[in-house]
Amino acid sequence: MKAFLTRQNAVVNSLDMAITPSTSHKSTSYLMLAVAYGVLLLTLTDELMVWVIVLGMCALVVRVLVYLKSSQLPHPRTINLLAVLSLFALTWFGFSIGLLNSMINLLAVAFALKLILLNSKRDFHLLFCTSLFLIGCGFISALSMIAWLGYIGVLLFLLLALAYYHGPVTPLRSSAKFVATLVLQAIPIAALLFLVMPQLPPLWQMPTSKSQQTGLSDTVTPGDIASLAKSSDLAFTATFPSNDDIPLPQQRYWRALVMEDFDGKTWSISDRRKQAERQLSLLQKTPPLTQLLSADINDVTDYEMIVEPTKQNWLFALELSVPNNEKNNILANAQFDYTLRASTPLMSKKSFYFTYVPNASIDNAAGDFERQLNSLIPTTTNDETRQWALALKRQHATPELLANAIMNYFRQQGFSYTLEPNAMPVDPIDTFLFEEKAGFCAHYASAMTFALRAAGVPARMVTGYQGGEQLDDNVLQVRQYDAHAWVEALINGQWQRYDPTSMVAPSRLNFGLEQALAEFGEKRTSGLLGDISEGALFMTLQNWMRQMDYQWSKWILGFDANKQKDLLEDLLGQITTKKITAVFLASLSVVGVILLVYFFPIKRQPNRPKYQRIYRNALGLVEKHTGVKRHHLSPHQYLKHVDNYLEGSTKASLHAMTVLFNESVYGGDDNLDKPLVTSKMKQHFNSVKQSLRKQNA
Amino acid sequence: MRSDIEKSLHALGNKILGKEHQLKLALTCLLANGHLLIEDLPGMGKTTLSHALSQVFGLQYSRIQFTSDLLPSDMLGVNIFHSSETDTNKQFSFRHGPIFSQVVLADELNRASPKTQSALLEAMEERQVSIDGTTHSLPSPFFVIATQNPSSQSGTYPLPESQLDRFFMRISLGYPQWDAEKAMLKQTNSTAPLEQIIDEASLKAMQQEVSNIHASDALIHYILMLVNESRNNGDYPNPLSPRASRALLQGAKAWAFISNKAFATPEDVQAVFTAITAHRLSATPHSESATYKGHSPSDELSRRLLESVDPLAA
Repeated sequence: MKAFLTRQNAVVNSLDMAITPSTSHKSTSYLMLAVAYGVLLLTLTDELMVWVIVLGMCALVVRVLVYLKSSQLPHPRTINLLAVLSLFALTWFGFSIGLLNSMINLLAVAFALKLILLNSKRDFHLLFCTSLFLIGCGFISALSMIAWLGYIGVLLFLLLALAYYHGPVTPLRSSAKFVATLVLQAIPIAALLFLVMPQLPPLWQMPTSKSQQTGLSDTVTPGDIASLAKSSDLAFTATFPSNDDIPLPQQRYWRALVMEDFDGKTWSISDRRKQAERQLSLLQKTPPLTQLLSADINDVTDYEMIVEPTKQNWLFALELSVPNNEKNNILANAQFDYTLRASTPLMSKKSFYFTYVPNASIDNAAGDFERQLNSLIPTTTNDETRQWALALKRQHATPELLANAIMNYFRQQGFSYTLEPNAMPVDPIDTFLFEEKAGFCAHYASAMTFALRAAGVPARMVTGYQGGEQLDDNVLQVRQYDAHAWVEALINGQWQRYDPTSMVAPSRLNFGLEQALAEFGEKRTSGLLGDISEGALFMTLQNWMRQMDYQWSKWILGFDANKQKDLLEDLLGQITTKKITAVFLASLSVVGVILLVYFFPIKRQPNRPKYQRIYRNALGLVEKHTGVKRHHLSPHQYLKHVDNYLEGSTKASLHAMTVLFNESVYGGDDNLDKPLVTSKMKQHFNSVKQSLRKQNA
Repeated sequence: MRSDIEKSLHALGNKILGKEHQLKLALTCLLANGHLLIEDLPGMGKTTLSHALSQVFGLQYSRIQFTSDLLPSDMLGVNIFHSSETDTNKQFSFRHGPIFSQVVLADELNRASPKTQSALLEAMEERQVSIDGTTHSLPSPFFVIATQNPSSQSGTYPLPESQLDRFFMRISLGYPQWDAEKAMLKQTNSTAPLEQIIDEASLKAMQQEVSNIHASDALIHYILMLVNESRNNGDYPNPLSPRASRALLQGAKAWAFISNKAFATPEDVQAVFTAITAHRLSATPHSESATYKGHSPSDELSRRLLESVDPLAA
C-alpha cells in the first residue's frame, strides 16, 4: 500500500511538473502554511517580542515572493547566520521575559527560519507540527470563545494545507471536502472524550511569566485606577444561586488588596505586613476570616466566581466571603487582613467557590502591630493636610465624628469626580484637598486615609472592585472599569469601611461608573469608538457577545471534576465506583470501536450469491479434511490437486460442484436458474459432508 | 477438443515431438490473432514449427533472416522504376518485400538494427506498410513468428520493453525429452511437407469464434486483479500494460476455444499466463542461459504473480 502511495505521489509530482510548473500543489501548500503562521504570529503579540514578529513576517514575505516566482530561496548560509544572531538575541532578552515566553519566542523564530528554507516533505511535516504547538501556546493565554473559534479556523486551514499537499491533483475544493469529512468524524469522539474522561489536574506547573499584569496592581498611585477605568475587559463573573441572593449594588464591594504603606505619593502593600503574615502562618494561627462561619450566622450565600487570568496570586471576593476550599481546584487562602490569596498565580481562567457572609465585621486581628502600622505617615510632605487633620481632631471628640467630618468635607466643598484629573506631582494630597478638588476614587481614598492617620486614627486604603452588571438573573459580571478604592478606619477595635467617593458621586455605587461620570459631564470612553459603543445595535451585540462568553467560560472552561461529577449524577443517579468504571470503560470502548472503524476498514466481502457460498464452504471442508490449501488454484486445478486425497464419492460430488460453479460463475447463461443451482449445490454439499464424515470415522 | 484442431495438433506433434504444450500455445496465439516470439538456441525447431504451422493452415510462408545490415526496404519492399524501351507507360511499381506473406518467420530478430526492428514491429501492429506515401495492406491472416537467440548476445540489439509488449506471446521449445528425441532420430520422412488440415476461411471463422467465447465479469475481475497486483506491488519492475490485459483475455478465450469450451475460466487464464506475461514482466534483456533448461527468472516473476492472486476472490 505504501509503495502504491509513493508511486502515486511520484506520478502526481511528475504530472504536476509537466502540466503546471508555475502553481504546483507544493508551493500552494507552502504558502498556505506560511499564511497560517502569519496569522498565528499576530495572535501571539502579547508573548512574542517585536523583532520576532518582524522576522516572522519577513519569512512570510519571502514565501510569497517564492510563490510568485519573483525570488529564489536564500542561501542556507544566510539563514544559519540569522539563526546564530537570533539565538544571541533570544538569550539576551530571555532573562527579562521569563522562561515560558522565551520558549514561545524560540519556537516562533525557529519556525520563521525553517519556513524561509522550506523545500521538502519532511520540513513541511515538521512545520505543520510546530504550528500545532504554536496554537497550543496561543491557548495558554487566550481562552475566550472568539479566540477558540479563531484557532480552530487556523487549525482547519493547516489541515487543508496538509491534505492539499498530499492529495492527488484535484481542485482545492475536494481537499476541503476531505478535511471537512475527517473533522466531522473527529468531533463526536472529541466531545465524548471531553465529557467522560477523568479531569486530571495539570501534570506540570506553568512557569510564572514576567509579562504585563492585568487588572489591579499591588501599588496604587492615585490616578492608576483611572487608567484602569478605560478598560472594559472582564475581571470576573460571579454566579449566585438565584436573583434574590445577589447583593444590592451599594453592597457589592469586592475586596482585593489592603494597602498599608504610604511614601507620600504611592500606596503599597506593606513589607512588614507580608513578613507578619508569614510569621503568623508559621505559628499556625488561624486567620479570623475562616472562623466566620463557625459562629451561628444564618443568611449566608454560596456563590461561584470565574476569575479571568491576572498572573497574580491575589483574589477578590464580596466583603466578606469565606472560601469554600473543598470545591476549589486552586486553594484560596485567607490572610489576617481578611484578604485572599490563591495558592498559585492565575495563569488562566479559574473558578472559585465562596460563601458570602453579609454584615460580618473586620476585626483588628493582628492587634497592636496593625494599629501601629496603619498610623505611620511621612512627616515631611503634605504639611497643610496634616495641620488640617490636627485641627479637625481638636474639634471632634471621637474618631467616628472625625471620620464623618472628613466625609462631609468632601460633600460640602464642591469636589468633583473625574477620570482625568490634573497631575499633582508635589504634595499631591495638599493639592487635591485644597486646590484641585477633582479626582477619581483613589484620590479620595488616599486623601482620607492620610488625613485619618494624621489625626491619629489608624486607617488603610483598600482596593478592589465595586458594582457589577447583571448579565443574567443570577449572574454578575465585573469589568476592569469597576475597579475602586476605599478606606478602612480602625474604630472601636473594628475596621470600618468609609467610601469617600460616595460623598462626591453617590450614583457611582448605585448605578455604576458611567452614570457617575455622566453627572459630571464626562464619558468613560472618548472619540469615535465611544460614540459607536453607545449605539443600540452595538449594545445589543455586545450584550449578546458577553452572554456567549459567559456560557463558554461556564460550560467549557469551567468543566472540571466537580461539574463532571454533577453531570454524571444527573445521568446515572447515585454514583458508585462500579457505575463510574462501567461508564468510563463503555465510553472508551465506544471511542475505540469508532476509531477501529475509521482506521482499519474491515475488508468487506462482496455479497455473493448463495450457491457460491455453498461451494466455498465445501472447499473449506475439503481443505480441512485433506490439509491441502487451495491458495491461488482455480477450482478445476484444485480438484486435480486433491485427487489422491479423496474417496470416489467425495470426488464425484466435488467434481459436480466444481462444474456447476464454473458454469454458473463463468458461463454466459444470462437466464441462470439460481434457485435450481443453489438446491443442486446444497445436495452435493451434503453428500460431500457425509462422505467426508464417513471417511473420518 | 474440436476434431480439426486435434488433428492439426497431432500433425504438428509429428514434426515437433514431445512439445504438445508449446504447440498448443502457438496455435492459441494464431487463433487469438497475435504474434509469437520464440526464444531458443539454434537448432531447436523454430523454423520447423513455423513452417509446419503455415502448412497445416495452408498459409503463404516467407522467412526473413535478420542481420545487422538488413535494411527496412529489404524487408518491406521498394518502388522500382520500369524502364523497358518498348513499354510506353514508364512508371514506378512497388515490389513487395518478404513481409507480404501470411506467415513470416523473422529469424534472429535481435540481430537487426533498431531501425529495421521497429519497421517490422510497426508492420505487426498496423498490419499495413506505408512506403513513399502509399499504404499497402498486409495479407490476412498475418502471423509473425520472431525468434531470438538467448545466448551469444554480442552484436545484437535487444528488443526494448515497449516492443516486446507487441508480441502476444513468448514461448521457448527447449531441448526435447530422451524419448522424443529418440523418436525424432528414428523418423524417416521428416522432411515431407504436412498436408493442409484447416483452410484459410475456416481459420478466419475460428478467429471470429474465439472473440465470441463468453468471458464473465468474474473472469475479467480475475484478470484485472492480476494486472493490478503487478502495478501496485513494487516487486514488479515492469507492470503489465492494458495491452497485456487484453492479451490475457484474448488468450484465455482462445485456450478455451481449443479446449472446446463455451466460456473461459480462470484455468484458461492460468494456462496462457506465463507465455503472455513473462516477457512483459522482465525488464532486462534475456541473457539468462537457463532459458532452455528450465524456468527463467522472468517465468519466476509470472508464476509469483499468478500465485499471489486467488481466482475465487474475484
